[in-house]
Amino acid sequence: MIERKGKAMREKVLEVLCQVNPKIVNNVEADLLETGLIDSFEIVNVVMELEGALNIEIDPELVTPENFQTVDAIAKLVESIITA
Amino acid sequence: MTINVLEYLEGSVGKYPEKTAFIDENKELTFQQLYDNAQAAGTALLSLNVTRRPVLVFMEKSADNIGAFMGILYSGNFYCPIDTDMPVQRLEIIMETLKPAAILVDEVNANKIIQMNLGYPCFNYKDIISGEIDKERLAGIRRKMVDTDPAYVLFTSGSTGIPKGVLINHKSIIDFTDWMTQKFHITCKDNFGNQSPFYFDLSIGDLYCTLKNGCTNFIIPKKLFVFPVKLMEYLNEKKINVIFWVPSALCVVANLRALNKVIPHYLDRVLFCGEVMPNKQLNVWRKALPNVKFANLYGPCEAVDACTYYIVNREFADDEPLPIGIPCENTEIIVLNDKDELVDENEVGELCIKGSSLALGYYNNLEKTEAVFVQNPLNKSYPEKIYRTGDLVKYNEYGELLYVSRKDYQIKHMGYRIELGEIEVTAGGIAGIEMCACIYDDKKSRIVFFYKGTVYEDDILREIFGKKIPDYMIPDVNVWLKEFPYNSNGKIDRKQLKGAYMDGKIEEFR
Repeated sequence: MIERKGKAMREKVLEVLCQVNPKIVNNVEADLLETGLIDSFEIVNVVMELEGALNIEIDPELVTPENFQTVDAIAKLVESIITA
Repeated sequence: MTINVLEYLEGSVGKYPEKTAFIDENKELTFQQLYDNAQAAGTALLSLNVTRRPVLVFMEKSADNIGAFMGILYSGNFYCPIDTDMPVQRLEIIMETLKPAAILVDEVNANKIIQMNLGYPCFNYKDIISGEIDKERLAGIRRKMVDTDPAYVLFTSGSTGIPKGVLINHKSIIDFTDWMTQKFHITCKDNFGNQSPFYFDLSIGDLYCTLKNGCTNFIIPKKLFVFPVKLMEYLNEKKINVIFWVPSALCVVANLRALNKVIPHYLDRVLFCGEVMPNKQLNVWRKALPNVKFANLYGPCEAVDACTYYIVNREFADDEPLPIGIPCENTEIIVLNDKDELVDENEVGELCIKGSSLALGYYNNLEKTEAVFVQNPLNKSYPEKIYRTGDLVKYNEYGELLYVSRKDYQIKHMGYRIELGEIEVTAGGIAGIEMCACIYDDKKSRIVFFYKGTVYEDDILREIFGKKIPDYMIPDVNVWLKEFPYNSNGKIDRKQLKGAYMDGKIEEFR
């Protein structure tokens, strides 16, 4: 059950990310930072889109490389904000 | 008397040999090390047996770049820094214009250059800095150099798609560096936090102020700009007190509310240049750092770095434009209308620059040079060069210059002359609008407004615009975008935007 919930969140996050940068859909396992799929211009969009689409607020301190390195990491972050 | 920018380095070596000059993620260079590296590199390049020729620097951004630049200057040649990530096709176009005497590479890029097989002599920076230094021959070269000899060439995107190489001499760099040092009280106690790539003119300010004044320059890792809280922590950790960044870097910090979490409390001067700084984001900075000096600089690459400045000294509403201010000392700004006469009060005209900071021209491109580096039309008595920026400006009631838009960006709509930039400034102050751009659909005679952020109903947007701008300026079409296209300098790519819109492909950005 928990796993299914995790998957659903990942899908949702991926959907938001792809709206910001459609190239991400082909690189779901990639290191988003190393590959430059998320850069300094896009980070603002990623955060704002996640906040808008999922109706959450992401604390600026949580905007770290660890939390935004991969699609999974972002999904985990979002999950922890929602359940907090 | 300063003739050559190498005198800056030599002066600082004399005073602070053991002080750190440039520091990146992996490496720290004292002034002494920088000086030794540069002289060794310069000596190696003497084997080329040429002077006043371009040498391409194809290296990742690092402290070593500065050694490479200075080494090339020691050899009597001038340097051309370049974005190593640029598409091969663009690089080839640049090489056709530049025809460098040699290429300097680092370990990471050596293979890339060899594979491209460009046919120019190639030096590995790491190898040449461990070679001998021939002080006598370097001095011999130096005695023949004058301050009008070129120091660097930077390539900018041309409107035709062919990059132009802006050629800058020693005198122009000295002119600008002296000004910046004096105006912003730069001393050896200052720690710069460098943001700008070295192939971008914005970097000239912190690079040469560091060399001249014996500052320490922290080359901030690029990835930190993605994480504003980390970035602010870095500024504190390194005790950085002066930054000279592009507005978009400052905007990311403001938009992600990083200043609510970490105050960069060593900062006392924040300078920005390169594009329009929106007051909405600047106000976030000013509120968080009320005692910091903020300065808006304006200037094209063709006048080194900046030619006007405005030290922020009064309140601005979020939707007001920030002035670009007054001319830098030893620079004259002439604002000409379309009859090539000085503008009247409130009249919009083209900003033209006169002074020692002017570029020599575009390298190997006499035609483009002559089109914009022209005789001052107000002077019929002796040769006097001005540079026509193509930027439209006007004076406000304080006698300060206000940027209006690009010249090719002024439209005629229902008989009115309209600056699309004015609409953008107005829209930038609307709540929830994070970014915007206007284009003109010349086929249907419509002003098209693109924006990002909160979605607005058309009639509400019209109503908001109606309170701020005349009817004829209110956009006819409003398009909400998910994402804006950017050009390689990180600015909104209006050409691509317009192209997509006109071709009915705007959905790609929604």
